[in-house]
Amino acid sequence: MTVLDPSAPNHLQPNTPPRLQRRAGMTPGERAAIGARALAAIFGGYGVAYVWTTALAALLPLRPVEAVVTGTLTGLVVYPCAAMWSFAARSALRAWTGLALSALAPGLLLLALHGMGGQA
Amino acid sequence: MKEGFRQSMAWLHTWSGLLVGWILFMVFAAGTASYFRDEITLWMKPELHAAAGAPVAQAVAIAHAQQALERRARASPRWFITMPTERDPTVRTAWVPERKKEQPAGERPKRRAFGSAVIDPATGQELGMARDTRGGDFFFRLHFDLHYMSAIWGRWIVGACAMFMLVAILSGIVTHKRIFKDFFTFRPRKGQRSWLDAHNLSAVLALPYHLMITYTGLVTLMFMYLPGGVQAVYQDRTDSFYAELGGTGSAAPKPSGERVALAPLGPMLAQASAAWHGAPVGRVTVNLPGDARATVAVSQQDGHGIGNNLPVMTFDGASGRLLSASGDSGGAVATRGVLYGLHLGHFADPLLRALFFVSGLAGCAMVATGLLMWAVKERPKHFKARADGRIGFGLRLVDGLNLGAVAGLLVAMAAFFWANRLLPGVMPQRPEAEIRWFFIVWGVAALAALALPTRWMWQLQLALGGLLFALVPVLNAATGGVGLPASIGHGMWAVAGFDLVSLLLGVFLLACALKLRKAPLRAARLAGSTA
Amino acid sequence: MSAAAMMALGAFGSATGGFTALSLAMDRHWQDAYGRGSEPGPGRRRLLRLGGSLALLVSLLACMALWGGPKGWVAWAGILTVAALASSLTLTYAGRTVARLGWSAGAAAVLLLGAAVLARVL
Repeated sequence: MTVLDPSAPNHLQPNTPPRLQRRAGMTPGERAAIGARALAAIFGGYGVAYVWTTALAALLPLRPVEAVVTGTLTGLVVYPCAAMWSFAARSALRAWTGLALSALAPGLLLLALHGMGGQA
Repeated sequence: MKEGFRQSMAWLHTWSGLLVGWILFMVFAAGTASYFRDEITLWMKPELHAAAGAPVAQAVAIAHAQQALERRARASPRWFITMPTERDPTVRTAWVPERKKEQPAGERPKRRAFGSAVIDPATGQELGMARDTRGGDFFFRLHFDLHYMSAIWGRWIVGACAMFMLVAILSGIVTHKRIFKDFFTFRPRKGQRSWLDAHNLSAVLALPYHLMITYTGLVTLMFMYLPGGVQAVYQDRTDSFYAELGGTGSAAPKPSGERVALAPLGPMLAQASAAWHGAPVGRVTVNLPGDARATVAVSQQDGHGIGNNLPVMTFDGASGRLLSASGDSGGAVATRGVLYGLHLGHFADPLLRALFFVSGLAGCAMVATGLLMWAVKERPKHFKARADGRIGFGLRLVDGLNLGAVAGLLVAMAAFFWANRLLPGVMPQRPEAEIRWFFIVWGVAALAALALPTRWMWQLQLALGGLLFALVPVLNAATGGVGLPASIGHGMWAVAGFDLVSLLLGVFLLACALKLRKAPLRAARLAGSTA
Repeated sequence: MSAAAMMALGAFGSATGGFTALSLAMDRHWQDAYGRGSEPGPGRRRLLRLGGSLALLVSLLACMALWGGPKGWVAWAGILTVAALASSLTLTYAGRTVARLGWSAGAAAVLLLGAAVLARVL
C-alpha cells in the first residue's frame, strides 16, 4: 500500500482516505484482498486476453491470417485493461466478476463454434 | 470516486513498476545499446576496422561476393549474401553445407554448421581471423532471451516484465494529475521531489516512445504469448501461418541435377533497386546455385521503410529473368509489420536512429529514477517507525537491488568491452568467455551492493563504471583498433561513434559519482544509516 | 549544408521555439524567467500559446516534408522529446535566458526552413 506519512506532502495523492493512512502493515483481510486482485490481474487478465484473441481470430470475417493477427494484437491491449480493472474495481469480488463477464461473450461464442463441430 | 481510481492506479503503478524494475533497467539498457549492435560488433573486431573506409558500389561488392562463393561453396545448395551497410561495411556470406552422399549405417545424420566468410567489398579478400565475438548481438539477445537459460524461459520472463511495464505506463498516465502543468518542471536539489520530477520528465517527454516500445516489444513475440488465435485457426499448420505472415508462400525448389552456370547477380540487384526507386538491396538468397532450377531472392535493405515486411523480388538463377515480386499485405499483417519495424528501429537514417537512442536512454532514466525514488520515499517512514534509526530488511534489500541493477549493470557492460580487447585474440569459446566476464563482474557488483547498499558503494560503482567507459577510446587505440583521431579523420563513424559515446557515458557516470559527495545534509541522512 | 539537414535543424528549432513559448504561458515558468510574483497578461498568454502551438505544427510539417508520412510522425515525436528536454533544462538552470532561447531557435528555424524550401523549389 502506498501508505503516506501525512507530514510528508506528495502531490500525487493529496486526499488519502483514512483507511490507507495506517502505517504499520495491513490486516490479513486487506492482504487477502490485494492478493485476490493480483491473481485477477495476472491470471484472470491473461485468461480474458486469451479468450478474446481466440474468439476474434476464429470469428472475424477476414482472411485467416488477417483475423489471427487482428485478434492477437487486440489481446495484447485487453490484458493491461483487465489488469487495471482488477485494481480499479471497488472490491476484489467485483474485480473477478468483471473479468468473468468480459470473457463471457467471446467464451460462449467459442463454445458455440466448437459445438457446431466447425473450425474457422 | 475519481480520487479512488487515481489512487488505486497510483498503487498499481508503484508496484507493477518496482517489482520488475531491476530486470527492466537491463532490458532498456541492452535494448538501447542494440540500436547500434552492428557498430558495437564492428568495434569489437578491430581486425575489421580497415574495411570501414569509403563505401563501395553494390555492383562491385556483389561481384566480389559471387566470386568468393563460387570459390568456397560451389557445391552448396543455398547461398546467403548480406550486402554492406553503413552499420556493417563488410559483405557477409553464408552457405548451407552440401549434403553428404551417404551416412554410416545406424548413425543419426549430423547437422553440419553453415559455412561462412566475411568479404571486404572493395578487394574481394576474405577478412579472416577477426576475433570471435558475439559483439552487439549479445546485448540484442540479452534484452529478450536473457542468458544462462533456455530462450523460451527468457522470453516469457521478459514478456511478463513488459506487460507489467505496460500496466505501469498506463496507470502512471492515469495517476499523473498534473501531466500538462508539470510538463517542463524540474526542481533539482530538493530530495524526493527532484527524483519525482526526473521520473516525470523522463517518462512524459518520451511518452509516445515508451508506449510504443513496450507494446511493440510484446508484439514481436505475440504469437508465443497469446497462441490461442494461431491455434484456433491454423491448428497444426502453423508453418503455413508463418509463410502467409512473411509474404513468401513457396518452398525451396528441388534440384534438377542439370548444371547451368549461375547468371551474374549484379544486373538482378540493379533491376530490383531500380524497381524500388533506388533503395538498396539488403539480402540475397541463392537457391541451388549452379543448378538449372536455381532461383535468386533479392530483398530490400532494412531501414528504408518502417514495416518489417521487406519487398522481395525473385529471379530465375540461370537466366536472370524476373519471376515474381512481393505484393502488399492486408491491413492487419501490414500493421503488425509496421509495429515490428518500429520496435527494431532499423532506420537507415542516422538522425532517426539517434532520436530513438535518446528516447531509449530516457527509458533507462525513467526506470532508474522510479526505482530510486521508491527507496527515497520509503526511507522517512522507516526512521519514524523504528527507534533505533536503522532501516528494515525490505528497504535494505531494495537499496541493494537498485545499486546492483543500475550501477552494477553499467560496470558489467564496460567490463564486457574491456574483456573483448584484453582476452587473447584466439582462444577456445572466446565469445562465451567475454560474456562470462560480463556476468562475473555483474555478479560481484551485485553481491557487493547487497552486502553494503550505501552511498559510498554507489560512488564506488558509478566511478568504476565511469572510469572504464571513459577510457574505452584509449583501450581501443592501445589494442589494435583505429584510434579516435584517425577514425574521425577517415570518416569511420561507426568506430568513432562508439568511442565518443563511451567517453560521454563515462564522463556522465563520473559526474554522478562526484555529485554524490556534495549532497545536502538532509539527503545524506536519508540515504542510509551507514552512509 | 544539405537541404535535408536544414529541414531537420529547422524542425528542431521550430519545436524548441514552440515549447519555450508554451512553457512561458504557464505562471510557474514565467516566474522562472521573470521573477516571483509576475505573470503574463491574458493577451500575452494567448499569444504565447497560439504561437507555440503553431511552431510545433511547423515542426511537424517540416518532418513530414523531410521523411514522408509515417516516418515523419516518428521523427517528430523524437524531435519533440529533445526540444522539450532542452526547454525544461533551460528553465531550471538558466531561467532568464529562456525567452532568448525561444526567439533564437525560432529565428534560426525560419531561416533554415526558408532556405530548405527555396533549395527544393529552385
